[in-house]
Amino acid sequence: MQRDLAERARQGDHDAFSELAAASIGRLFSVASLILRDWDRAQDAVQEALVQAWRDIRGLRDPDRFDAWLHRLVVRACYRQARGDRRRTVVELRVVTRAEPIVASPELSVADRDRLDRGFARLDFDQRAVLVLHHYVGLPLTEVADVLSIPTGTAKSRLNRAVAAMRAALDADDRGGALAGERTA
Amino acid sequence: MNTKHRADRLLDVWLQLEAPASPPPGLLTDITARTSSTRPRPAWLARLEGHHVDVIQGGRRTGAPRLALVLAIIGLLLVALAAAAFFGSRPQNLIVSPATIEPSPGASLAAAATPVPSGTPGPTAIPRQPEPGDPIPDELVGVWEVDAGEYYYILRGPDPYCQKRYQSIQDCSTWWDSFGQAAYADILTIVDGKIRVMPVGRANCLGQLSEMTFARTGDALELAFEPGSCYTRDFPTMHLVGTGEGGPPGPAQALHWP
Repeated sequence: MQRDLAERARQGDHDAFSELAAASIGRLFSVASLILRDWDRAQDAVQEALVQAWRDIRGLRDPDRFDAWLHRLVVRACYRQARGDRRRTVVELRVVTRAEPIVASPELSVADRDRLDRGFARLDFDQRAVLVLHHYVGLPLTEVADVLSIPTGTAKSRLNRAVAAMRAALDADDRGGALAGERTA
Repeated sequence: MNTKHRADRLLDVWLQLEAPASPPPGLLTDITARTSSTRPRPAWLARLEGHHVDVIQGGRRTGAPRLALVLAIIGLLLVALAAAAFFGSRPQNLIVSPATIEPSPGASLAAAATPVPSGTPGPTAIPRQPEPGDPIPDELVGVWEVDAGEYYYILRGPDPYCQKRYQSIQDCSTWWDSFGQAAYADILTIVDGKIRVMPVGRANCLGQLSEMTFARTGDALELAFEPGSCYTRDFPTMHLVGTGEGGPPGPAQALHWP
């Protein structure tokens, strides 16, 4: 089904492309939001990626690779968004604009969530991209490497570092919390 | 459940919770409106003009068409040079022969660029045209630890590694990743106070310029790519760990004699 749509889009069928965009926009927006931690910039990144996808769709040789191609485009757009932010000389305070309420989870305490949030914020974009594509989208590492145009070994190394940093964020805060508890006890 | 598995599980749950449930209303409409007013570019133009990472072709062979084009142009230039030499012109004056250069740390590019006298045997490898700009400052030369197990080598030309691998007598750099492979080979010069980076060692950004600003404080080095550069990596603060010669720290021995 998706292959047919991609094939038709490649022939210039805009309706087919719109169907593909509608089917993938939610996932792409989630990926961009997680990497950028900013919904406004994520919106820009997704828009940029999908417009570029339509513009260059004829350059896509294998319609079966459409999803991987979109992931690549959106990750590159995230990089450009992040780079655009670095160009700004005026210091801005960005508020993470979240349209949805924070959902409670029985598995994840508020404290853990806060620790993971801070740990993730300390990761660089390379690590975030690998982490999100592997742990959230569920791509195998070879596919992640393909999407990011990096060797599989590099993807593995980035993932290991990112996961280690996240574990350390949990552990460090656990230790910090325990120590603080001891001091106040 | 051990701590490691618990952390991984929490990470998965956290990512699912953090991801927005749906895209903002109106985003798809905006995109559809924008794309409906434009037409896709021809395939050859998309493949030629698009940055290679933007046009996937299946597998990891994403840079093949552009690389093939660059190689074809280089091949034509080499044929033209060979033809010109054969018919008695003096194209050798334009190029630099590594065979005529005595490697010395202080050798300048101008001094090294000695023309090959007409009638002498040609160089064993085709040397690279010099990149414009001044040599990089001494304070940048050395091995910089980027991250655990990763080193960024900034080497003073003429350096044996860059001469042998990339036929360049100019200052160059390479990055040694934690898997023990060298990548990101670039020729470095200084233009307008910034580091001019010309990639020569891999398909990514091959032949596409990047510029970096630099700031050294003690043993720490900050590098940042300028807007518009082909490279976009965010370097962490690096720390000087060696000179790039004579072995550890870092895999310098293997770097110089691969």
